[in-house]
Amino acid sequence: MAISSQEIIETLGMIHAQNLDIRTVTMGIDLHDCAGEDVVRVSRKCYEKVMRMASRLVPTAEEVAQEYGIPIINKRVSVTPIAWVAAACDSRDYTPIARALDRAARELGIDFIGGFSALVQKGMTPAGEALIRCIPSALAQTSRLCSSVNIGTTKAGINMDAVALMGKIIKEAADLTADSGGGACARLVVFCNAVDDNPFMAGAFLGAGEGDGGLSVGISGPGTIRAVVQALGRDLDLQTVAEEIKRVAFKITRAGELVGRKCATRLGVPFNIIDLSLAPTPAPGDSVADILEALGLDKVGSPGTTAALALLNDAVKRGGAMATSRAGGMSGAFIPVSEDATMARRAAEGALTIEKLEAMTAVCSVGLDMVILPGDTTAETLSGIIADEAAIGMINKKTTAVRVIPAPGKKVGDYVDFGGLLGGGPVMPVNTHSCAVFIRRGGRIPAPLQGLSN
Amino acid sequence: MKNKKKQVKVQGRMKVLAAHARAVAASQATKAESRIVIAVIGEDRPGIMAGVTGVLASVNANILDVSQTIMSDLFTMVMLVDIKKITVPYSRLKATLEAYGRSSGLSIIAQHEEIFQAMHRI
Repeated sequence: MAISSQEIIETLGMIHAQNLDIRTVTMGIDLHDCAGEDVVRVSRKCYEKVMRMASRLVPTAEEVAQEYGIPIINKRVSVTPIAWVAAACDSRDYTPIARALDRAARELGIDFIGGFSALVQKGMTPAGEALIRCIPSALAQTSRLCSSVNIGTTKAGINMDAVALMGKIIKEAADLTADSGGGACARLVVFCNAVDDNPFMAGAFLGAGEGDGGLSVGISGPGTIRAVVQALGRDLDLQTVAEEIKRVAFKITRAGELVGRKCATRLGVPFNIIDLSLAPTPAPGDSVADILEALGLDKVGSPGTTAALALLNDAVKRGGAMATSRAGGMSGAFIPVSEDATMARRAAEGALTIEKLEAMTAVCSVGLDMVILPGDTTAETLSGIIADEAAIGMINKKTTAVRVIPAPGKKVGDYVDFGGLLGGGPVMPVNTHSCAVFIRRGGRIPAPLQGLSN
Repeated sequence: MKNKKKQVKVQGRMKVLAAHARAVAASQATKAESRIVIAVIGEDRPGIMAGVTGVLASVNANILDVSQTIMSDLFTMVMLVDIKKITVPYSRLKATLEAYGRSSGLSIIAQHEEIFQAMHRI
């Protein structure tokens, strides 16, 4: 059936007026075959493999974006968790690998490379612990490297020793990059139920069983969805609104899948997954908070916010799941505070609090994301925040994450700017009552009954 | 025995049908790849269509369908164009069209037809 002019104009409006774009094409690259005993040699092999596999990533993505008229904002690479690749190394200092990956990212012209990661949900291997202890210096010495640590799953429970350690690591990473407001923490995610095929940064890595590589796509389009919700007016019932969101999500996903498949074919790698997430950027109008407000909230953070987000998140998944059989990754709305201009403004106004954000993370992906905290927040408090988020993820069988920045020397009300896609936001007040004794206990929070699904 | 023969015959026919379906799908896919949609939006004045079609003719692009309306006071033209036999690379044609648009105060956007098929057809 021929496409009508109206449909063509609708699509063009989505792209040119409402910021419809592909947020990221992320190439997963397996680095297991780079393992060895000499860390310098391992670094070189990692660098060479990434350069070899991804050499045409940026030009190909740009060529496809040009031809199909849909912008691809970011080109990225995710690799095997380095704790696995480096496990056989004699040295426990893995920063040479971090620098090698960062150099590859710079030379390829990509903005982030993810996978300086360890999975320690049940226990830490010596390599896992060594990697975690390297994270602050690795992030401080690089600018494009992203790091993540999985500290819990629904099947394994929560490794509270790792949670306690990560509180300290985040503080250390912030202190090492005090001049950028603790910018290293913007590239460090602590996960519960991390996914193996996430194309979004900073939490992307290529998990076990993912093959030698492949291309994944992260779609976006909060602006497109907000435009549709706004056009519906203020009186339509919520089921009808959900139906309309579903329709747009379908269209966005189809565009994303087409563009992703074209890129993968031209690069000669398998097409992996499409992540149906609504990812905001600091650009005006490209905001998830704007959608929630278009649904009828005065300010995000008000009562009703969690319900509105649940509706949005589910409607996007329904439309997306119909449009592709390759849904994967996070697939849910993101609510990063500093990366979403409206979210940051509402936080500055006091309408949006950390506690409300925590509630919101129970119904969407991913977690307390890009939240800027006072510089004097203690490591134990950070660990408490991580444990709370992980508990939500563990019990609800979903991914949750913590990416918080305790900005050195900053107090509530100060503003911190990270620049670019990471945006900026206010320092948010955090509950300072101590949980130190609870955190110091260590050990494991046992896997919940929900994990016994067989 | 007779039944078995019949079964083999049916299976053979199914195979032919499946091959045919695959061929149709493949030809549709290549068709969509070699066809672009051009949207021209701007203030209405004489000569817009002549200008755009002139650019297309100069590179041997074949116009398959044109529709034109005035939407909220703006001239809106949508063309379906076959670029299988064009004499320059597609990226060059796209750039030429966009440059022509800029020089004459029009917004001209060219995209592969596939993207519209993907978004609007199941």
